[in-house]
Amino acid sequence: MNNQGLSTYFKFSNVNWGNMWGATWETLWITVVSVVLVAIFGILLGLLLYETTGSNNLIVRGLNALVALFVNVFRSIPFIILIVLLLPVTQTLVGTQIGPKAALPSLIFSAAPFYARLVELAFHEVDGGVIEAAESMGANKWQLIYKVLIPESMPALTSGITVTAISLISYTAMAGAIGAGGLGQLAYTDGFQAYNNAITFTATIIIVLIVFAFQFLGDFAVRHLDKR
Amino acid sequence: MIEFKNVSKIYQTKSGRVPAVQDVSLKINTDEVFGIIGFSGAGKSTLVRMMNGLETPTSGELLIDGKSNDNLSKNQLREQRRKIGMIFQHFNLLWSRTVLENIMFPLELGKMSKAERVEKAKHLAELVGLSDRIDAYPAQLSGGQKQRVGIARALANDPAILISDEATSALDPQTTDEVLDLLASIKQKLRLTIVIITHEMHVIRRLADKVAVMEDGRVIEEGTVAKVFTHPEQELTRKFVNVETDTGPNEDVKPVIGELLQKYPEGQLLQLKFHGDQVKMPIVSEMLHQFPDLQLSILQGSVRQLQDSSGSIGSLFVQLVGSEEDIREALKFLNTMRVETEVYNHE
Repeated sequence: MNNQGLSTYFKFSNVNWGNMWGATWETLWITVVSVVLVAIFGILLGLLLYETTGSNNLIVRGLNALVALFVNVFRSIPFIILIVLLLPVTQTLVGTQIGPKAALPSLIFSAAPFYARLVELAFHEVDGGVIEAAESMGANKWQLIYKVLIPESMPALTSGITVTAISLISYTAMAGAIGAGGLGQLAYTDGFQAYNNAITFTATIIIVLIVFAFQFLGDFAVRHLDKR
Repeated sequence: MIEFKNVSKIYQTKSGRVPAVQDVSLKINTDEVFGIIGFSGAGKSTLVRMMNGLETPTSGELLIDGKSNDNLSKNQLREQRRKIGMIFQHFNLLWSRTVLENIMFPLELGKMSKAERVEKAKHLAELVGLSDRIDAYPAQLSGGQKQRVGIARALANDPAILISDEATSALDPQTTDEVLDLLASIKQKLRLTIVIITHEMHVIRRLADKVAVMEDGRVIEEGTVAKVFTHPEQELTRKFVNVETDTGPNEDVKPVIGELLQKYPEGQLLQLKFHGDQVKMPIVSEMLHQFPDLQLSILQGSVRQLQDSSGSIGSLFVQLVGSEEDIREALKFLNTMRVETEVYNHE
């Protein structure tokens, strides 16, 4: 019955700081690992979408349609449902259904298709003349990708991963609510279920700070990368 | 030698077949500067892109030093492309790379050590006069400087052929001349065949040895620049040449012509066209010696130098006032001196 009154937000004496830092560390850990993996899978998927777009070859077009379908389906599933849906997959891939590790598959399945779309867009925005110039100089497909496509779209790739990272932070919190650990879990179990608003409030502030930090880092990197 | 034999390119689009190049046959000799002029959509770009395999002919054959691109494997085609440098209207530099890194780009595609690449790129930057800007990014450069980087990059693999695709069309007139001067000096220093696409006769005049005029995918006229400039046969060619040689009275002269026609109704307004060595001869003064009673006013004159130094074109607007007989005889004299004359009358 003491879950009443605004002052409960500020009863910081109820906060177990050891647990709080532990949860913060877990959230950061899941976020960073998933961002890295999402970046890798997203770029690969985005590249596949980009390379298979507008081809005359039937097989390539079929592949494009398949990848596009995969991307669209996983982008549409609400995250909270996706976690539950993927529980057997998670069990198979990482051997457990609880803890930070268990959050990774659903985080990646959810965010990688989203980022893949951003990657595809970024690649399409690379100046066609520059690509033609590189081709005219005898660049092969691989050189075209890592010497032209990726460096020339770096600012867009970076701002895309920043946006994705921020939704990943919010997803990790959601995953936390069903046992993946981190600030989400702490806010849910120790905050909400234990009527301890100060814990929920502190977890919120830390998450907001993490989001700000990612946004700042992303913006800084984009400014630094963009020589246009 | 580059040889186009009855080359056509037809695009299949939803709205039907679009011919971009139609039955083109051309010979471009080694170490020659060959200009291709035409308005946009004439098929020039498609035609030259066949040389490095960015386009393939629908029918006909293209031979470079006797060899066709058709049967090359992907790897061989890439090797072939490295021997053909290309510069573009919009420069097409990588904004993410510095000047030096842009010049090194084509070298990175082949097998060359980093030290060699840097060495070579620095040398090329010097050749195009950008030694002091090698660490700048393209966004920090002017249009002319960007095209210099484009030229250095195109020369990086010591190409046998340099293709210039409207390379000066995005530049202002003064910068255009700077870039043309640079290309001219490159032509002097390095032995290479240069193929220039443009819609400006000025570019052809400054650089080319031979020129082909394209319209609707076809080559409608072809020959040495001197010949095409002095004796254009097709209407379109005449248009291009006229823009370049002021062979019509320009806007400033028109009111004066009107006044003179009024003031001396008996006078005869003429345009004299001089070709080659006639430009340097005192033909007009000789004429006045022979017909001392004639009065002559000069309205406008110009001399243009063609790329090959034998070719100059002079144009002079004059008014002759005198007896009808003197004027007739004077015209005859000009005719024997092989000066073309055109008579303007009251409008």
